[in-house]
Amino acid sequence: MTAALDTLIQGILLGGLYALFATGLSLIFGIMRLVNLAHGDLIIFAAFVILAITSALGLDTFIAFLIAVPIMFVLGYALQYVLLNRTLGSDILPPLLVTFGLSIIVQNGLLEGFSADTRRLPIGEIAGISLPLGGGIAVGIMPLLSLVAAILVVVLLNQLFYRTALGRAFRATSDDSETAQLMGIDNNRIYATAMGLAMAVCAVAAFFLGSRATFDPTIGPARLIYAFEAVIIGGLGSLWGTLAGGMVVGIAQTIGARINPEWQILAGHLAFLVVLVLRPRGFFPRAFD
Amino acid sequence: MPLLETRDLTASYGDFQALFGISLSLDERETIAIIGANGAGKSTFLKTIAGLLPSPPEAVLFEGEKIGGARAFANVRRGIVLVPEGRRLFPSLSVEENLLIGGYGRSGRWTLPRIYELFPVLSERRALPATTLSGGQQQMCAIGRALMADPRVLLCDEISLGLAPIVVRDIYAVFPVIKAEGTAIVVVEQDIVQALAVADRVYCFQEGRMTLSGRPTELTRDAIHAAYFGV
Repeated sequence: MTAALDTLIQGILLGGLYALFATGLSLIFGIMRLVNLAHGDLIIFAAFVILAITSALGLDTFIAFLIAVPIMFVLGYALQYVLLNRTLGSDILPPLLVTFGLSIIVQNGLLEGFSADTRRLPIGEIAGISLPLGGGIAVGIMPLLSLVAAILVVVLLNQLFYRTALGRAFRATSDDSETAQLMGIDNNRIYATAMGLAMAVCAVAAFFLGSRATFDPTIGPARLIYAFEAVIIGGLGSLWGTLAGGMVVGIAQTIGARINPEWQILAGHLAFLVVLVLRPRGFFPRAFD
Repeated sequence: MPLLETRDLTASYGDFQALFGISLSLDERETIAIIGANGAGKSTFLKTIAGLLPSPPEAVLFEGEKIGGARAFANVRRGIVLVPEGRRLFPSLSVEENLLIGGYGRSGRWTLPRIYELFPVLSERRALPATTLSGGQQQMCAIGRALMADPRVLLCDEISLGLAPIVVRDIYAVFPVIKAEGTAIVVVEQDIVQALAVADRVYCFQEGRMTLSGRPTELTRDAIHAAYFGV
């Protein structure tokens, strides 16, 4: 019983991290129907940005992370405005090809700049601290914080979407970008802002990924798969769904690992396939599309 | 100087040319109607002025400024606002949010309370999704949304399409209020009677060309008939 509960809790905590991987992907797909194949690599890129700030300025990793968030926002805005907006249109192939190319460029750029060594974000003692919940179950502070961060990110983005003029513009552009222009909305700037937000979330994901596991320039695509699975399980266009999707992948992986450590990754993918068979549109699909 | 003017305006969808040299003008505070059969190029004309379709800069002038080919959002900020054909309300936004988003790029004299005063039924349904409104209410919402941008030129594309005559009458009943704000209006209509009733001047399009223009009182039924159908 305790073991089962422990597995569930650890799975949920892992799910929080996967939800952070997936939220940016979900956000930009929801607003501009862009599938960003470079998303995983951009998370790793963000981790190296944090690492570079830490080592160049000798700052604490957490401070470096806070600096990396606005940097990633600006880079994301520029990436969308200068490059990706040109690929958007009725054809879905150009954005796929361009972001696939971008993925290769980011990976190789990082290999060139930081070598293939595995890294870790130094966060000091907090990495080893855990909170006993009683009954022999304990949760690590950092995994717990990553779950809290995932929930916070989803809550804040939903507040932005449903409470602000910018959020209305996001939703209107997502519904019908041509008519949105008739409201005085410059959809190129809206898309750039959305990508900026997605990249800022990537920095959050990078901080928690890099502080709990090692990373190197080539592991982005594997993170992208978990993110895709979380988005599709949750239902395209719903951020709460993406959070739930992250949980499903996380719990499945933890259960798999408990049965046999070799089955961790496989179990996550199997859970994804089962959801695809039972609920092809995910748990919380948007009512229309 | 006219408020809005087109000079030899042409428009195409790929290889298909939809407009062949349309020149017309709209004065401040004036309402003009463009009538014509399906496929005459009326909607294309409005879309081109609004900036949804490309055109050479000198083909469209607003207060003498060459704005042809300017993007739609930039034209909204100038005060050229389109009520699109088929209403095109945003389905994931509530009625009130649809109205609010109208004021995203530009706002002014028209506020939410004034829109609700104009269309009280929208006030009752402000929190509901826009898709739950009836056709006539959706059209009111689309007009209200356009007014929120404080238009100097209001372009109305087939606002009577698919609506019962009594509903059409209710909607056109608000035009005097809009005109009283000094807003110039371009109405595209298939309903000739309605168009003649509301307009200071009428233009008739046929297959992308202008076949008739004049004041409603000066145009005979036969002349309109000939210009409309080309027989």
